[in-house]
Amino acid sequence: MTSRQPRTPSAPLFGLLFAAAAAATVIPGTVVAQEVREPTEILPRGDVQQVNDPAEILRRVDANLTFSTAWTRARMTIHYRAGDVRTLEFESWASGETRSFLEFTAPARDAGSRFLRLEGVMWYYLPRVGKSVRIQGHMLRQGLMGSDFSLGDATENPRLVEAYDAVVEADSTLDGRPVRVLYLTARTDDVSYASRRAWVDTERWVPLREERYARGGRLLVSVALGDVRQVAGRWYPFRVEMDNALQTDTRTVLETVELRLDLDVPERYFTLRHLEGGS
Amino acid sequence: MGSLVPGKLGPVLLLRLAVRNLLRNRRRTVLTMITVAFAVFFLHVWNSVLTGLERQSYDNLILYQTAHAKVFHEGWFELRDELPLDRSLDNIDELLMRVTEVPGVAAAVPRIAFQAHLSDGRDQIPVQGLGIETSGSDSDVFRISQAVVEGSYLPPDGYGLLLGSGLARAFDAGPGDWMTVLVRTRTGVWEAQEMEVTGVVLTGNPSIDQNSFLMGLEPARAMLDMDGRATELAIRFAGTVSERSVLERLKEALASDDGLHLAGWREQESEFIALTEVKRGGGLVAMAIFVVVALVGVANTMLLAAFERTQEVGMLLAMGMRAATVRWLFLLEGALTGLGAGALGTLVALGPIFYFAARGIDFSAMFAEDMDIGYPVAGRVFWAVTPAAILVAWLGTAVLAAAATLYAAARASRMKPAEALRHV
Amino acid sequence: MSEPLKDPVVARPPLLGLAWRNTLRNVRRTLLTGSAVVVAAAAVIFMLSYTRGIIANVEDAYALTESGHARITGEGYLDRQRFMPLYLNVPGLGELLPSLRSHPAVAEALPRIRSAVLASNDEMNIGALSMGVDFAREEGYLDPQRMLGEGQLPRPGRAEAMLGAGLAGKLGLAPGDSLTILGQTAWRSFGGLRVEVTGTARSGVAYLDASLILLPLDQAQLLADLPDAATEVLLFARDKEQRDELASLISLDRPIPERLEVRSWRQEGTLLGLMDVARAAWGFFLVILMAMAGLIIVNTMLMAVLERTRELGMLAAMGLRRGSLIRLVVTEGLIIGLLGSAIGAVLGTGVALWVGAVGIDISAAMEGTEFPMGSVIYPDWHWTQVAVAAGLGVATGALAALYPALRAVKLAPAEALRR
Repeated sequence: MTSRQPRTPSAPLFGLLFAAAAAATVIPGTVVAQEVREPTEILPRGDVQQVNDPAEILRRVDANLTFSTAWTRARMTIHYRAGDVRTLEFESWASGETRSFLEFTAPARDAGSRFLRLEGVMWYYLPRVGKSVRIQGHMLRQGLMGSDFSLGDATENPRLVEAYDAVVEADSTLDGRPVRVLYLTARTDDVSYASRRAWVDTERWVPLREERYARGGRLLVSVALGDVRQVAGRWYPFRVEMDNALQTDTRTVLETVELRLDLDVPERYFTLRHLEGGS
Repeated sequence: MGSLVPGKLGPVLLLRLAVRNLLRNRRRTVLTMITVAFAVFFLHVWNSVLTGLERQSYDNLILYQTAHAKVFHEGWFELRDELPLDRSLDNIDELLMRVTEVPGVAAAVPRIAFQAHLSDGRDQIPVQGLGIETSGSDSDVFRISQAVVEGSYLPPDGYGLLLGSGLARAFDAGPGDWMTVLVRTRTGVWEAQEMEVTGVVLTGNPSIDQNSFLMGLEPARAMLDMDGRATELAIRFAGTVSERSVLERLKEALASDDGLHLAGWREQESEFIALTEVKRGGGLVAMAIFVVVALVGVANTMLLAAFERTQEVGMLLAMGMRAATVRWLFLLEGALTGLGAGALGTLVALGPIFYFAARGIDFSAMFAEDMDIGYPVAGRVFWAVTPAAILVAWLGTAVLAAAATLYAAARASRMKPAEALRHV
Repeated sequence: MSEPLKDPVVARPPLLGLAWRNTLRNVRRTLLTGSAVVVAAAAVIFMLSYTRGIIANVEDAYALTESGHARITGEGYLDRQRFMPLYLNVPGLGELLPSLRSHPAVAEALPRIRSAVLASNDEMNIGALSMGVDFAREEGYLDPQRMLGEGQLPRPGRAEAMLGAGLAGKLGLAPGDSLTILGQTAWRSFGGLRVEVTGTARSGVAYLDASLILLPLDQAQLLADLPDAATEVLLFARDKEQRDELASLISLDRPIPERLEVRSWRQEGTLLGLMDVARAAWGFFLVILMAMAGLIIVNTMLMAVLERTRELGMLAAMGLRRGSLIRLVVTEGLIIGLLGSAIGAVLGTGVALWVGAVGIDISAAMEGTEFPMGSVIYPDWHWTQVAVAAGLGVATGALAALYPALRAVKLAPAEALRR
């Protein structure tokens, strides 16, 4: 049996937010996306027939969605089955595959709640508690602030091509875009999602839809990705809607408001001191 | 009776005299006996029900929870409330062999008991998890497979969950639903696994029905990082052996290994057994009141009889009977009354006792399934037939009745013949 | 039989006086006959007060800690009660509580927040039950003041808490120490609170003391992120008679907002139903007890009356009619029944009141159970118990005398004289 330290899951949700872009030409406010229909020169031109190798498809997806460092401001809206809607805002800093720091800024009752992730361990800090609380393992599957985004997924950014074996299942269309449906199987046992299905846009190489499963085939989570814009040579989904199949009364939408890539994130951000409110 | 009364009557004669006296006042004797018989009847019924509950509880514990005995890691038992995984057995096969070779042992099987949280995605509660062999050998020791009320038992590969009926009801879950099991592995890392419910079990044991789920041993080992290990080895004894002797032999067989702890089911459930004693004591208050009223009845009757027979006693004393003999006469009458009452009460009680010992009473209509009545028993409660206790109660009645007659006998024996004869 | 004389004194003698004198004449006989009534009456009173004490104990403990006489919760909350789901709650307390309290049948409406939390100090995390309550209003109900062991009560608006004595012991905390409470909010996000422990509580209910954290309501609302809300509102009736109907009374007169439900304590689970079964069982025992006492009285009365056959025969010869004779004997039975009941009542009441003051400590039997029951039973004496015992005693005495009376008068006076 392999090591019990939970490895980073294969397809990070938040990883989608941080695309490794070329230069930090982000304009505060909104990122201006070039309204282009054709892929830019950075990505190789390819039409559906030519990319048969599923590993290559994954590689292209990883190229769009993974990053080295990033800062983002986002809005998370949680819709409850009973009709309530709750909207939260936060900022986050990320570095590499598994280091990230999150701080909620709105609404007032949640402001000041912070999360720090270093490799497989996470700490959270609530102003009312006054000290950091450590969580790991199954707790990473808890939803961030009760949403459908798990803490684990929210703070990771690993590469699909390394964690999964893929096969092409079909070609199809989704929301008017041509997609290739891939079925991914985890290579090792300690990956959070034993298998996945991804509907990958074959012009932009961004998944438009994903389903993630536990061992045995049980659906754990459904993801819908949209508002795909071009950002400094990548295609990037600015809207992600997530539905945790086990938490049946919620549906969460994450919208990226502001995004900066490849910036200098100070090391001290990823410390407990910073988590607890030190400089 | 002869014309001359000897000073001291032989026991047989005394007995016949007592019997004749009792028969002379049939109505009075019968009424007294009926009164005491009431108390005897209830005493028997109360004892039968409680003993039945206790025996059924012990059976339930042995069939579903404790087996006849278990082998633990030495340090596990003292921390058993926490279900520690780091104090576990690792040479399972060798232990199994050693244990099953002991004469009197019918079967043995490893199990893992662990703390877990069970979640249906909406809510989550702390429960106990049990990893059991699914190849069939768990059924050699426990009877879980026969307690499945919905769905089916675990599949051979062990992937699936059996929920205690109370848990199933709390989550409103059943076969086909998926639940998440959250645990801490042996190395202290948290882990989660989704599993499908294959069946629901109803054992009558609240520890299982309300608080446990069962899964396959191998998947549990994988999830908990307990490969080749177990927290306990459960042992069932063959039907007709003496528990103590088998326990002794097991202790010898395991003596060579320092890090083991063998616990018979009585040791495992010592708290519960102590509690049953206390529960018995609780009902004693009510029984005591019955007994007191019955004894007052006997004392009353005998005292009044003594006064009523003042003349007769005077005559006997005047004719030379010793005071002590008079006392013995009354005591004997009291004892015989008690004996008769005991016989009556016992006979009448035997009817319902045997009936309900065979058929049992179905309590499930009266109580909801998940009411914890303090005994791990579900559905039908079978009364117990306790020949020894019945005999003791019967004879005890005779003794108590005699005791109640003491004052009357003393009064009668102290009568002065002259005064007594004058009495109208 | 000779013609009854026309002498009014003899034809219709003052029965009561005669019966009374007869009773007193043979004190020993009267005592013996009456002693059965005394013991039975005392036993009945004690048993009734004991069982009443048990039932009161369970009902009170249950009502005060769990259900009130009626309870308002979020719809569906009670079905998932075991999980204590915070997301099913009772909002809008600001309007709801005054509305409920203004209802004439309601003595008090108490909001509470119940949740499963972790009590955390530097070395360990222990699962605990957190209850946010309105300390001021809970006086006389949950009565934290009465539960207080060491220290003092938490003050509203401050981050303070009271711990069950067992829990404080496990965590090694004393008044003045601080405690971190970790839990979930109603939105399922992480919630937490750092509090100062101001006091320890002994609730008298064993399983609570090992796991209870009492917080001021506003602090629990912060922890759960439930402003102006609670997980339940317990309603208590002013009038004991209205306890069972309180829920229906409320639903009729006060509009219950959607997504909420009201439940009477009788509708909740089987605990109180169990008490009804217990009451019936004890009632059955009492009937048997009285039957036993009755038999004893019949027996002793028979002996007493038959012993006086000659005397009664003489009375008949003097002109006392049969009816009067019977009435005489029955009256004597009544007097004995009355006297016996009176003495038995005094005895039974004395024992019941004494044990009622001292209490019967059953904490040994309660250990390890999760039964909402105080560890001490106080037999609850009520005058109706005396009435029941007296009624039974008198009736038994009179009825038990009837048969012997009939037997005695069947014998012709001449025969009686001959005896």
